[in-house]
Amino acid sequence: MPSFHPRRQAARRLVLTALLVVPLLVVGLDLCLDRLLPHWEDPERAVLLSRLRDRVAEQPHRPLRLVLGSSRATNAFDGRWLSESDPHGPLVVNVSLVGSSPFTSLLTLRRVVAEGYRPRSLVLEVLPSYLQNPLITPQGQPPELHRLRLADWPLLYRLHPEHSLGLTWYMAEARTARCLRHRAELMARIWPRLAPPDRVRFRAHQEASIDSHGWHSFRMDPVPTEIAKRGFEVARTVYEPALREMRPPSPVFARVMKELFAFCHEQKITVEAVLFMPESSAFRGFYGPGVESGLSEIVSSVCEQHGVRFLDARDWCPDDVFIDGHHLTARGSRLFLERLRREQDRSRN
Amino acid sequence: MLFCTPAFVYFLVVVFVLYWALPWRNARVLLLLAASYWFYSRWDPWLALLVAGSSCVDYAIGRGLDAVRSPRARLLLLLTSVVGNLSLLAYFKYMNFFLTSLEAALRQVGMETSFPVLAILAPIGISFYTFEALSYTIDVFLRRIPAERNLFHFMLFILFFPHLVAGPIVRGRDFLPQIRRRKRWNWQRMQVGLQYIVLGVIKKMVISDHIAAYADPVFAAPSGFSSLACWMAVIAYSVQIYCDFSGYTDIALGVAHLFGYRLTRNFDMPYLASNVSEFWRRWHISLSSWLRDYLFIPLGGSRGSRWLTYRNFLLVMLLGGLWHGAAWTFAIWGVLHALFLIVHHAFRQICERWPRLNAACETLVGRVASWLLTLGCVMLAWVFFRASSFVIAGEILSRLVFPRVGARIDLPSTPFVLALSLVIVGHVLGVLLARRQLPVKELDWLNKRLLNAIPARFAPTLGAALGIALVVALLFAADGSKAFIYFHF
Repeated sequence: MPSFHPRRQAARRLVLTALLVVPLLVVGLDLCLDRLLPHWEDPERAVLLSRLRDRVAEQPHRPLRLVLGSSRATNAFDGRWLSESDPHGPLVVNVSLVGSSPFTSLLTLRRVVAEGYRPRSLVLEVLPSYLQNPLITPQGQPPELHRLRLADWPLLYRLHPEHSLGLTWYMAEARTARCLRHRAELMARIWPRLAPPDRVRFRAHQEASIDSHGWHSFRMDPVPTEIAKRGFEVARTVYEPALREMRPPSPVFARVMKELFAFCHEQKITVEAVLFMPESSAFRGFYGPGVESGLSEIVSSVCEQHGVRFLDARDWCPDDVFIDGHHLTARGSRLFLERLRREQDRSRN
Repeated sequence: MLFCTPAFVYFLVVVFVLYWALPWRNARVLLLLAASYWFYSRWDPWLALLVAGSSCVDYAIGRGLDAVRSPRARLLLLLTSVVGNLSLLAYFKYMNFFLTSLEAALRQVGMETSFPVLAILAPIGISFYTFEALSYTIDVFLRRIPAERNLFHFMLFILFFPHLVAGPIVRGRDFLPQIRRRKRWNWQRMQVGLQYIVLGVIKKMVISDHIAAYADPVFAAPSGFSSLACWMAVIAYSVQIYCDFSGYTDIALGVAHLFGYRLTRNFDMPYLASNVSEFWRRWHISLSSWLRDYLFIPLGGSRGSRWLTYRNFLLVMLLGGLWHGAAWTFAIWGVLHALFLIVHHAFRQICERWPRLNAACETLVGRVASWLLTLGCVMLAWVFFRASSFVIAGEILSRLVFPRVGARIDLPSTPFVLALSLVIVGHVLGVLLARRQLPVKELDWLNKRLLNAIPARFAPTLGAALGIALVVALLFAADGSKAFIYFHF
């Protein structure tokens, strides 16, 4: 052992302790978030699960039907109207998440079941653009990394084995020091007066805008031209490149759907339908030749293999009920749900 | 690449590991030089080339000054360096300012002209490295230091990434010998570096970035705000600029220590100054000492008549103000400080003639009063420094003086109070620690004040506290990293 001058030794101890404490603290906080406070990182899902908890507590004996999907389903499925208009039917709760892929829907379903709820049935929405690249969302990011917990990683790797290298890179980038990355969200919970006010306002708005059954309604009707125009331009930027040409079907989608259907089968959950949500005619113009029908064929063949009904609702609604070409207004939601109910009645008869 | 971003942390870790892994001194110099060049080129590779090119020219001039014997040729070389460096500064930083000012002046005398606004991207930190290069050639000309013979050493002196973009303004006589010295791993240095970095991160990310939210809306459009909001904004900006710039300097000093270099100290609790002269001995020390050594003293300093001294104050502070930015608001800020200095100088002369007045100033009440007066003057001058125009500065000053009702700042006051409390606690701690005059041969000021006040057996505790402080600072950091204010200068 080299002999150190006491002051030098003290300095060495100080530096090494500091260098050890920083990663230990960060990893400790990350683990704490992952194991104990996952809802802090994913407040949207936390709000939806709390809505589900409250509705089931109110009507514990009513069969539960979940709606799983992306923001399109969030805007479209008014669970309260569906539940109240058919008092003998199931209790419908919308647990769709913004930007959700079928993989995230699978995770949500597993969380719901892990919390002790046993839905009788579910409706699953699939975002067509997701089929074009199941690893990367239309926004150019891997699907919902901030919503993944450590326990979800094996499933993610199992379903995306061909992307393991890319996923590892994304994981390392997005998941390292997540307590620091989500510090504004954490601060909004721990000490709201110190958190960025826009973040606190956003959280309050997010919570207030989701109704008792998980529906996120858009009540401005007609949609102000400026909002519609801006929204459509955003949609064009995000979705048009993904829908312009048909790419060979990825095995990941089939694998995720197979896993989801197997889980439903295991938990005795009936999959009522898999859906492509309504889109305006202008939005459908983003599809290149053969892409629209090609994507339908992929989903319908996967559904057929598992005996699940696929409904392509892309042309069900008129153009004036969209906020931005692919998210429905409250009036659009009602039109869509009435049509969906007719379709289901017809299939039953 | 900002200091408080993950990209800089990755960069620093890679350079640090490579640096200490290399056994050869020259290879380390080359590594630091390459890293510094890469660091600067992240903003603009062409401007990085420009900085490197102008450094080469200054190196050649320095060698020429050393080699040439003829005084006239030496003077010519010095002039080439001064004119060349100042021309670059004038073109990149002041060209549009000159043109718009000339246009306005011509309009005043009835001549309608319209000069085009040039699309010039000013190299970041140009004011800093221009002054470094100038001090070097002047020192070589005056034979205070020999010319640097090694081009890479000279380039590292100018381009060393911790001080490249926002100082401190280093002098050749302080920095060049450090490059030549063999660097050995030193835990004490690492500790000092770490302390500085943590302190800088707290100042910048916790205090400055949070409190900026109280100044920005008022300085953007003051007309709707109440007098109270304006006072809050001025206090907030005073805290913001101090914590932003001294935070940057602390990080720069800390990073330099990690590589075995010591940069000039730039701040010494300036808001505790009891007069404006003292304020300038504590604020941006590397700039104020540069202006003193290369401008004020050559102009005659305070050795001449009273009026000559006042003229010197005025000239130096006016140029000091314009050094910060190409706008008349900066010039007024400089002139205001010159006036404060003149008033203080005159008051000191009166005190010399009136011993009872001098004694009154030395009492506790007198000291507190002079401290408050100095702080007030400095804070009011910041209004011109921050305001984008005279209209805005005037609006804020009028609201500060004449009570007006208006909007409040639409933010919770907790971050403001917390940031202010942190600054006050920091200053109180600083004063208490400064009183412990420990006769130990020290590596560093902070080390002297902080570590030696604590027994060695508490080192791991202090280390843990440092680590916790860093993580807490990062958790409390404002959302979205803001650029350092002095990057614009």
